Amino acid sequence: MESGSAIAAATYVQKGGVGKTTSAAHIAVAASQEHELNVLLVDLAGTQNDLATHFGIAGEVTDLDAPISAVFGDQWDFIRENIPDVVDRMVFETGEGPDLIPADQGLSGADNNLANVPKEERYDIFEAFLRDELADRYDFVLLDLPGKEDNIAINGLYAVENVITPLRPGAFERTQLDNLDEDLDTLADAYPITPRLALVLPTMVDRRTKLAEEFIEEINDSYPDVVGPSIPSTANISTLQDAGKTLFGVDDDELYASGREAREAYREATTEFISRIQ
Amino acid sequence: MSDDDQQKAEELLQQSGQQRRHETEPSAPERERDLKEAIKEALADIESGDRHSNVTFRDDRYAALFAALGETGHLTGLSEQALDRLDQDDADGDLGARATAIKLLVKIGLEEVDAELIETFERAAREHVQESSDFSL
Repeated sequence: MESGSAIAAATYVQKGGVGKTTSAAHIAVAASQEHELNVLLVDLAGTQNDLATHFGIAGEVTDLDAPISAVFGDQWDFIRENIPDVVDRMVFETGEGPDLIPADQGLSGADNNLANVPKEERYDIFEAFLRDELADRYDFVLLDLPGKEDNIAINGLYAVENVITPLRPGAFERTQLDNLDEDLDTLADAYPITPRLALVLPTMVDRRTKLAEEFIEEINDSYPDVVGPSIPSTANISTLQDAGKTLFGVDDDELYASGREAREAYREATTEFISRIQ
Repeated sequence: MSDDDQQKAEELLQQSGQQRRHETEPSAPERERDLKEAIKEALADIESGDRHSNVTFRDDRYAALFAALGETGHLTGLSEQALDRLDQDDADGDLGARATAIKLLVKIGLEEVDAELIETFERAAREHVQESSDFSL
């Protein structure tokens, strides 16, 4: 649960299009604004820099002079030793509270290179970075991980114990819902990690549909202890994402009712999550 | 910490961000050509007429099934269910057409089996459009 003094968690699910990155952004902002935590988001989810886009800073991070992928390389210790401000140079302000370490184009190559690192040294690289460089600076470090079982994702899961899994109605069959825990158990059997499902978040929920109603019932049956409030489907999220903001980045009168409900749900989910793991 | 070391460290730092999957030392299964680039090349080939734009498979039973679905008016409903499942508003085609229904069902299948693949596919398609329009400017 903790690395040094920081709470460490990751958004992770082996499924795309379920609101993983959106949930990471909103939970991070809620933790910062509502709980006054010093929050860092780390985008390890690929090379698309979706989190930077979410905060309207994609233009600032296209040509990074201190990429996070360096951490996974065998020269990191030398880099760290000789560039005292290298971590500071990785970090960007989102403008909504949390800081962000964006993804970079080198992550896919770094993932590939990790395959050549001996297994016993392969998975604890990011954990060391989190512990040595981030834990003293932040109260809450939230990783957005790739939606697959690659070496970067396993590094992230090694570094945290708490996993936040967003699920969208229609994207999962009942059996897959039941298998979420098993997926984490399977990973824990295969790798030296101990991830714990700490928050299951139903996203993009349109309560007017029978599908959503059934989905919420099923998810509550499957995960009664960790299911969070449903995040309603709202056009505000994608519109604001294009504008580089979260729901927390605008005033009430700029949101539809669904947008205000979604923001409140993220707020509640974050409070539940933090109280659960502290 | 000498100036030389600092300069060397800066070079290594910059190189980290420039490493690409296809340029890093791969493990055996990962020597395949980058999928996204392959999709973009295939899209360009299709646009220039160098590659067919149809996807086919031969199967008597499925051929019979889809013929029957079309003849009994079930294809539109099937396409609508598929759209719901994909959370899409439209299908870029006639919902009652066999090709539209199969295309949607293939997408559902790919999402189920490998959601990353769909993301890569959509990213490749977006980049292809972007690069094509950049090129034409």
